[in-house]
Amino acid sequence: MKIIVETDHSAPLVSLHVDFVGGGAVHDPAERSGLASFATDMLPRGTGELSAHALAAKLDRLGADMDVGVGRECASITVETIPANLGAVVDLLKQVIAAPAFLPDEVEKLRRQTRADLLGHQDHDKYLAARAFRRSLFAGHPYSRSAGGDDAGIAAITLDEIRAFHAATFVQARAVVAISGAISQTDGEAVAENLCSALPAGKAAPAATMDPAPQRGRHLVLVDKPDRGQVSFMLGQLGARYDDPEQPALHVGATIFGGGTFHSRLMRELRTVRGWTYGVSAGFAMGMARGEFFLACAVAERDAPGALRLQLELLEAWAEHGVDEDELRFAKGYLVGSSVFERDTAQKRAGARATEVVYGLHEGYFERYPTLLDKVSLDEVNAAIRARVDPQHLVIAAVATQGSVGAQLGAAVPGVSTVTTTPFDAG
Amino acid sequence: MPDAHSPAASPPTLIATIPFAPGATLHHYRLANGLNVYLLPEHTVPVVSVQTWVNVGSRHEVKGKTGLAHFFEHLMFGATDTLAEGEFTERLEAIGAEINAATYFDWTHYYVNARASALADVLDLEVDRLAHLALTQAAVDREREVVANERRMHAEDSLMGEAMEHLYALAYTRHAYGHPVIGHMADIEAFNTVDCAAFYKAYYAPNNVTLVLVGDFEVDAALALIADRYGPLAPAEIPIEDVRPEPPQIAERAVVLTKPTASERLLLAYHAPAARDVDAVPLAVLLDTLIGGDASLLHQALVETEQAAEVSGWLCGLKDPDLLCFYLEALPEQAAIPLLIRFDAALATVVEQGVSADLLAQAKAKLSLGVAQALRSASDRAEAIGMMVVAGAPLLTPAEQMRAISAVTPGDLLRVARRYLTPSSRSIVQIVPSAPGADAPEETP
Repeated sequence: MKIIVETDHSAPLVSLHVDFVGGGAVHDPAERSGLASFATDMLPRGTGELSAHALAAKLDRLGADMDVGVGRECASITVETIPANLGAVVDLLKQVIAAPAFLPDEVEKLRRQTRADLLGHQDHDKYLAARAFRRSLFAGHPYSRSAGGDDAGIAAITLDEIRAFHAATFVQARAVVAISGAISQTDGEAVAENLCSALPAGKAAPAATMDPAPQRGRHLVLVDKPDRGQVSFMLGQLGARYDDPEQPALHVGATIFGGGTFHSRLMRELRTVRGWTYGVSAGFAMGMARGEFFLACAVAERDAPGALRLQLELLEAWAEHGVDEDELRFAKGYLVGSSVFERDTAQKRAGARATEVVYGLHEGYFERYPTLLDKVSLDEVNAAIRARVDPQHLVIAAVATQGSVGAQLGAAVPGVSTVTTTPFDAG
Repeated sequence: MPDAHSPAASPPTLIATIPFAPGATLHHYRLANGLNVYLLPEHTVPVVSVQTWVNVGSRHEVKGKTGLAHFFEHLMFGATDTLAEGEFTERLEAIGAEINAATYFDWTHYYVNARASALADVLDLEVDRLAHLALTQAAVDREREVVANERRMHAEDSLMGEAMEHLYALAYTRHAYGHPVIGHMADIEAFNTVDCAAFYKAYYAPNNVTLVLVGDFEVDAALALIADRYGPLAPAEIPIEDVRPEPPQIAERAVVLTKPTASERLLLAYHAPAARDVDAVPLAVLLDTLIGGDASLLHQALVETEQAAEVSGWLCGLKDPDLLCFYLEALPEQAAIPLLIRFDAALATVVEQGVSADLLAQAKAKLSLGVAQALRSASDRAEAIGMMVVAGAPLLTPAEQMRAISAVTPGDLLRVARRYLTPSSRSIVQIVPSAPGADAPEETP
């Protein structure tokens, strides 16, 4: 168990966020995609003492906002309330985490609702592009799966599996408790101790997942959806780990290429010069294993083949020639200057410290991170890009109306190895 | 006119000093040229949020020129008489500032969040684009494409974006709230520099702007900077608001959209009061009792009984009469009309009997928490202040907002439920899935 407290009395709020390491979607069994998310979603659906409705009503009455969720690595629960009600809220939270009822009727109801939610995702082209991209890029690896799971996995989850997940995950050994806001260090620590006293000691999280295997060649995955005015792209390849020593250099390099500013190369060429897109971004999504390096944008159908060619050309130029001193100076100024907004609330500072624990980073890593960025040299950035980015090996996902633009997109990818098409509603 | 200057400006006039929060005082000044200035100093984090709220939005647009306020917002990031294209954003991003803007029905909002030491530089850049924007054909042509793509993404290829446009067009037949903030595609494609120059001249003047600063500064120093930079700007004659009040709706209106989606949905809009109306807070409380969280009335009646996959609702907080909107999502392969019948039955009970004391207490506690949650950072606080000012709502401190919520009675809820939840004055957009393999989706007026 790790306890983090960040005190800030500027607003009458206390936030309590608990990560349970190893409770993330990467540990779902392959045939039970969505188990971690489903089991965690069951927590607020009733305890030994309170029905789901009674629990929700009590939290509302206390002015408490509670949320649960699952990412790649952790299951998490967050609650926020006014300081005067914190004690009563923590008493409820103890029941939620330590003594969920897992009633069979509630399990079946959540199963039906989750399957409906999964269908609803099909309305969002950006989601469909990201899903197709990750399924192809990380094929055979847990990162290929959505944290929320898939229909087959949700349909197959059993009550015993939910209970087993809960027993292994919601334990002291895996808890990282971050408390922030109008509370002192001493009181915060006491609250965390009280909360975790309801949990069994448990065992540490399982070992981190192995890195995914790199894909070879260029693979175009078309998600066919009728009546699209735009093509939604997500393309890229394997990226980096959170604890990667080259992470600051890659961050600076990706910022120059497509991260966060109006002056990234991608924004300049696709939006400012040509007006082809409302926004385009690129970056490295870090994980305990190698995550993805990605580009994402949406382009009008008529401009999509040209925009895809341009993205590939820009990627090749960046990988081959790197960045220059002016770009480096600008990116470092932006990243170091904006770092103050990563730490301008107690909740953000507590979250950063929790991330350090979850990902095994040095204590104070994020506080020192602007200094690391500032020290990065031009050679380090370009060496990191050369070592990690190879434009000949890409997954290119595109949500488009196949009959209108599919062939042109295929022709826009020089040296394409495979082109596959899948209906948007294939699940 | 934004590009004219008056040489001698009077000192700023103190309009009010407001105890905003414990240890935090909000100072309201007005410059002689009409610029409203709100200053909330706080010294916990070395940042400042500079927010420029222009009293112009899609409400000021006319048929054939829809989307002009939003389009112009994009142009405000372009060249000025002294800055080249891209230099405004480059200078700010080079020091790590967060910059962006938004346009809504009633207002246009620009923000720059930066390190406190950059305040003078930020104000220099903001006043420069307020007074000296260079509107070129090239900039208009480029942003036309960008905005067209923004529209494709957020309206035409977005199921809910498109449905929302239909809902507002149904509910507002005369008021400009009925056309989309982003504008119709044909209008976006037709904008030219003449349109944009006329719009700039008409609305971007100090007497049509509210400047809000929150962060690590001293009031006297910040006020001196503002007076020095903005004081010389001459006010403009702001066009008379050509508002066309929405006539009472006396019959339900509906449209059906056929789309490639898995579930039937309903969007419903009831006519609701303006943000400054005495009924606004009670209606917000009523809405929360209906859809605010898992214990709310409609969630329990529709989602927990598995009549609906999802139910939600919202008010926009508008200067003129608003809409109270609901979103109902049927379960896959189930029709939306039976869901609508159950929804109507639940609301009929509310109109007849009100809601329980427990639900009212829960809503009050949640909304009060929300007031505090909306004020987390300097940028949050500046946005909350600016929003109240430009929406024409009373400028309430967090404590006053909580007291207003707390003062709502069961009788208030009955009154607003009976006044506004009238099916005969609502508009409905129904979304139905297209058949697998179907070609072009249809719209049925």
